[in-house]
Amino acid sequence: MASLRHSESPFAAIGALLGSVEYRAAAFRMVALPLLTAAGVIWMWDRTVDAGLFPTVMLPPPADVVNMLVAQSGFMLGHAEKTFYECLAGFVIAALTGVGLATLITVSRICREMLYPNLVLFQLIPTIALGPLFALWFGVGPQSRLFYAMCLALFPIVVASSTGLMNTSPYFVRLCESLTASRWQILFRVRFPFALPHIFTGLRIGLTLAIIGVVVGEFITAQSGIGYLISYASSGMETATALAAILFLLGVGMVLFLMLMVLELVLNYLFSTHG
Amino acid sequence: MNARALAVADLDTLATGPETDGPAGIVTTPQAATGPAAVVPAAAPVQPLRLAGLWRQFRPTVLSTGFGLFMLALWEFLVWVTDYPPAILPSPTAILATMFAHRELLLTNMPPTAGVALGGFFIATFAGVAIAVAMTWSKYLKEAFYPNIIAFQIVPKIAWAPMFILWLGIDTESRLGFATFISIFPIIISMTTGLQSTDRSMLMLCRSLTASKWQMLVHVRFPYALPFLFSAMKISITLAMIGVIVAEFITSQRGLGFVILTAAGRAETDLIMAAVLVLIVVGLAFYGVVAFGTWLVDRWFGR
Repeated sequence: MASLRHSESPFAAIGALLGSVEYRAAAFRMVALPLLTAAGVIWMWDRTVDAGLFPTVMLPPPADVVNMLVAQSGFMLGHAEKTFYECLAGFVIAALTGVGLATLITVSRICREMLYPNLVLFQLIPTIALGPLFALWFGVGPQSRLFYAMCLALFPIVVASSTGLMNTSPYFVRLCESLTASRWQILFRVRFPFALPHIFTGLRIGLTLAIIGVVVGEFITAQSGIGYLISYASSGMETATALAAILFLLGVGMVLFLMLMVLELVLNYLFSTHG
Repeated sequence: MNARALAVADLDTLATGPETDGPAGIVTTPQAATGPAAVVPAAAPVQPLRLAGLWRQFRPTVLSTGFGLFMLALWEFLVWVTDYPPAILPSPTAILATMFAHRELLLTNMPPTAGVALGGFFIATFAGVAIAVAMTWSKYLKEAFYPNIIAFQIVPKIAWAPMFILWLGIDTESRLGFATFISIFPIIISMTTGLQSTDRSMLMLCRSLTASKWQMLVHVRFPYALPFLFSAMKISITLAMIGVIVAEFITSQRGLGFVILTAAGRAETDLIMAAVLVLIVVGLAFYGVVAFGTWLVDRWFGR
């Protein structure tokens, strides 16, 4: 009866847990120690600047960065929006193409034998070095950065997704084959749900690379965007602005990753209930 | 147990026999795909034609290289037929010709890029291992810094490149600093994971045999962490190259990144691609050296 009462509500259980001294100590250490360390580093940064060890041009006080972030937030939001859409478009195209190619590789043996080794080989190319080439091909507009980001993000997505799709437990595949499931049924009902973790690992790497692509593209040729803002501000020795822009980029990245996380949750839910 | 193993072997034969066109079980590399398919006919009572067996064995290799060569030939042919402006798409042979013609330019600009990448990689490896050891040494140090390092990782690190140029100037120092910065994180994270994932019972045994903390680190934890370190080093060397190239894009007077950027400014696509080819060779050489190191250390510590 006592145990039943205990499990009555999750809040009660959490309360009981919070009440225990060891738990409190552990939670304090796990949460407070990193936060205190971060605060300490920022405090030391502030003191160093105050002591005049570095010129303010190189290392502005933290308060300046925050002030700049607040004062210029509207202006920076405009730049962040452009970066965000370029990242999103490049990533979505790469994700669709990548998962499509992985499906093709999984479904057809001839395609797999033709494409897969070449894709692995292609990964060796330092795609990042092709940035200026994309600017040459597509001009200085958003298309060049979009395709550059797509090109960077594509290969990890293809490789991870095809690994996942091909590594589905062979027993499930054989069982479904013996139950006369068609190749496509096996693909959508068995392989995809099983490959989801792999696909999303690839997508997360791809998203990071898409952001890198857009930012490097903006470094090279752009008139707007967060990457442009960072390189423009730092060449003008406006370090506080550059640091604030980096913080804004962090925001862009977090929104994108959050969207990917939601997508993963939704797909997991769909496949687990109707799959 | 035995019967189950037999049944599994039977299933394998069924599924990966020559007739099945579907994906052959657990396949990650095309080489693995040839394995079962090549073995099955040999085990069958009726020996198939030798030629067919050979074809089956080499089919993945032939198909993949064939497809690669076909795409290159198609590229060459299309450029030749459509008379595309070489500023947009030079043919593969034109790229090789440019590579040969500009060999001096490429060779003089290769060492700055490769050297800085290698330097950054070495500093990152040693510093990263030192940081990981410190975080394994003290629990409090790890709890204080590790979550912050992970959180810091969220910012795309490439975005810091202009800051390094602002801080360290437009010379080699900034590129070296940025290459180190960008390639240190995988080392720290993997090495910390590796040092902490040592077999618990092994550590307890050593402790009961009165091994010192230092002895346990050097003789037990470190060998356990080596596979983690090497897989991180493979990522790290690639990142160091990326860091140097991006830093060269921003400000540099030499290096392959500088060659690529100036070539793009003059619409010399063939030179860009030739420089990228050189970068591929350099990257492969570095990767090969790290892989060779992995193999050597594996033999030393005896699997």
